[in-house]
Amino acid sequence: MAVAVMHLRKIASMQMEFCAARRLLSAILLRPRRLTSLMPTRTFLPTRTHHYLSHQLPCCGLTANKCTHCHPSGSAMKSLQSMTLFSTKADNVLSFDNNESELMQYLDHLLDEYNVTTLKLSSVGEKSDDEIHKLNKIINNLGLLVARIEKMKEKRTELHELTAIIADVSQSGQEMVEMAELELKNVKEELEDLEQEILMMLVPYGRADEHDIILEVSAGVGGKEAMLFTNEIFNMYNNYAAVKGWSFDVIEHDPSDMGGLRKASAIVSGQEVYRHLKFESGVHRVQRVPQTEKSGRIHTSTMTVAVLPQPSEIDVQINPKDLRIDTFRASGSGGQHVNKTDSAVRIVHIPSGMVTECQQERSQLKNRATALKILRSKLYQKELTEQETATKMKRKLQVGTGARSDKIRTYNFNQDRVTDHRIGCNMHNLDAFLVGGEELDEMIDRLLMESHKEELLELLLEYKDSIKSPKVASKSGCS
Amino acid sequence: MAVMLNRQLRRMFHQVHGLSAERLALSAAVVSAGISCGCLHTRKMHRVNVLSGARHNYSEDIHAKKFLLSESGLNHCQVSVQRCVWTCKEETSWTEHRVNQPSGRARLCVDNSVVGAELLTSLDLEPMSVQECHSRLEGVFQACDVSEPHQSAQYLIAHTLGRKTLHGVDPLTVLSVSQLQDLTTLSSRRLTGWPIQYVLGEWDFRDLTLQMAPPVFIPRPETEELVSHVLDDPVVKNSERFIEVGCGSGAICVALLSERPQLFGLALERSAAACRLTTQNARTVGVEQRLELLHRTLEPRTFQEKAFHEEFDFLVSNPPYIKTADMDHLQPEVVDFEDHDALHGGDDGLNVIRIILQGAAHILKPNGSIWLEVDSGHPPLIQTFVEDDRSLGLTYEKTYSDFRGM
Repeated sequence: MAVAVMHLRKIASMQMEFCAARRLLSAILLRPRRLTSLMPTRTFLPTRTHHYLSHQLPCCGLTANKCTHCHPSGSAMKSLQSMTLFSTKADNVLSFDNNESELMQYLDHLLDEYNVTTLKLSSVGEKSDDEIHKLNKIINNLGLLVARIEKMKEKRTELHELTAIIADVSQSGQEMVEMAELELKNVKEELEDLEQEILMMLVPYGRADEHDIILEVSAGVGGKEAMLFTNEIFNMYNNYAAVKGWSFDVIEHDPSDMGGLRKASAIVSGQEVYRHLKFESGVHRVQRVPQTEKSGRIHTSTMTVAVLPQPSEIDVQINPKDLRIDTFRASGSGGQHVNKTDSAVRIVHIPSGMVTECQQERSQLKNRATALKILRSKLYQKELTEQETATKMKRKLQVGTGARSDKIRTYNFNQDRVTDHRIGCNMHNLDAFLVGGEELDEMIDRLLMESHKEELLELLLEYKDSIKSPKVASKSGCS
Repeated sequence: MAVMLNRQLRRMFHQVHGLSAERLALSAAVVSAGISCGCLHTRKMHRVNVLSGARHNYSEDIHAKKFLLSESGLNHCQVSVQRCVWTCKEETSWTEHRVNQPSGRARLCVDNSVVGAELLTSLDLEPMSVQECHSRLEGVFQACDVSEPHQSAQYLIAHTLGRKTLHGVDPLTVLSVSQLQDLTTLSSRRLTGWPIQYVLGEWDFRDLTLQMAPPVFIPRPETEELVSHVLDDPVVKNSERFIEVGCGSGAICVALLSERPQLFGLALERSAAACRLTTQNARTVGVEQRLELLHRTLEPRTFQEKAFHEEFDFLVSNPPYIKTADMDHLQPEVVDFEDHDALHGGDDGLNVIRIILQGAAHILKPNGSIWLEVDSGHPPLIQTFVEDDRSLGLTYEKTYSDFRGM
């Protein structure tokens, strides 16, 4: 004895005559429910609105959300300048000095494309709206970048002129040389800034970068010690979220006795959460003498972190027919006949076999919404991973490959050192690191930069391949 | 706990003889515990039975730890107590005491409360962790045949900690003695079969937390979906006024008003207790300005009133829809504690639904909607009813089965 909801309507008088016709359609329709989210996503989360204020970039004067060309994170900009990881001088591909480098070729290509498009737009002749729209889109995408490139070229020319003046003292005269030297310093600085900006603008914003995420932690090998470690890592991310001004809402928390954590997950929301935390996925390894150890031997334990971007409904379409939703009622009675307080919900996505469940709340509807949200994230993650593995280059920094046995980071307490194996980065002061403050932020910055570099390289390699083949791909950098 | 009960019981029973029937009510738990504590004699018990008449009362006095029951509950109590007394005399085991009322419907597990009370006494001896408390309480509930022992224990412990569920609570959290005492109070009530929602006095409905009080009908998860369907309807987005029949605790109308700030609602409700609860809930959620409540029983002529003519954009209701035959097979928590007027819909379950459908056209604007939660067998009957009688002025739109597709 299940329950049904009936929708009836009062006939406006004109329609009375059509009643008979309607009778023919009188089968009871089991209409698949539109699984729209019940209310704005935010309502289900306790409303702690922390706004992460990103820096306004000088390049376009627009803030992060509006400018898709410039990498919005002020901290990343700062890192680029202060760190040498992104050194363009070392890499031939990414060299601005060498006119034959892939980078310069690519930049020239972009300039060409821009000019061609501008000509086309201003040319006389019949153009369909669609065409105009396409051309405009290219102009918009490239506009700012092209401005930067041209400015950069200007500065380069200036640089050469100034260098020439300085080199030839006899020709120029002492005064001129001194002025030139001062100018040179300024020009060099400006040039560096421009080059960095261009490098940032070349790589488009990641598809999921702005999304909120579901962060899942689970203890791995090592028993109680692993569970204690899992708890510490979960707290680390909790604090990091607070530092960044994100909200951190625990949706699952499965502790063990003695202060350990078997499994937990939280919804982290704010600005660019996924972008920052996407490289935290994987196996984290700890090496230390456990609390429970009496003889002082060092143990190695692991825990796993999974980061699932939370897509909106447009990103991931779920057909209600593909879902099997299980609740406490195995069969039969419901509604007024029964009063059950077990509100656990499990959703099985039949095509992919993914299962999510939630029993967090007293309201079954809320649990269902949360379970659906988690399912959506998992499916999205799967999609993203599939996309990533389709890229040509073998990247050091892969996002959620699914190869969960990849150890990404080791926390060695004896040597007070945390090592990220993907970029070979070592940092000290482990206690501070686990607090989830600046130290973790720094490591994440390095990871982001390395990832950015890889994306850029890949972009250029693809371009290189495309010009080799007879078909010229007219792909612009910021699309 | 046993010691406390003894003293209080003795005090209470000294008062018993001086009190009139109207002012006395005792719960089976307390009485049985009294018997087990040996402070009651059979003769006194009989006098208690006679004195405790048939008054219908739902108030609470925490200081004297008195738990009050419905009229039917009291009847059970009388009979059960007699049974217990005899059993006590005969010294047989407590386990199987299912008492059947003449109607064959009701039962109350007095024995549970006895066993339970004894088991519960061990709970507040010393502070213990949430984990241990949960497993022990679950054990008590299980031993006493309380339905959903795991969830019940969870919700009760969470409530003493000021939370809704135990998720996110460190299982090593220690409960203080006073918290354990609160817990014991709640648990002994649960042991007598009280639904959790009544024990806690509140429950969640969609995004809201609403007050609950016996015997007002407790909103079901299926009704959360009814509200979803209503809110999904594009017509509702442009609606101004709606009417709800049988609002009970006010779950549907308050949820609609809170999620659609432009709506105004009128609710009809026959039970005074339910009216009070709806007003309270509307006030807590902050929508009482937009809700008009009429304490009235729905009759065929109710909708004919001039004031209601074509007033409403839609009508929504979760009317009593249980068939007479099914009333005997309901879950004990439901039949023993919730208002039968909110459940029983006549022999075919359609009595109230028929009245609604007969008058709906008069009160709805043209193309206005009706949203009803009904029993699974009803849709074809209702559809036929609506299509065969064109004078009703209604057309059938759709049926949504619950989300499990059954």
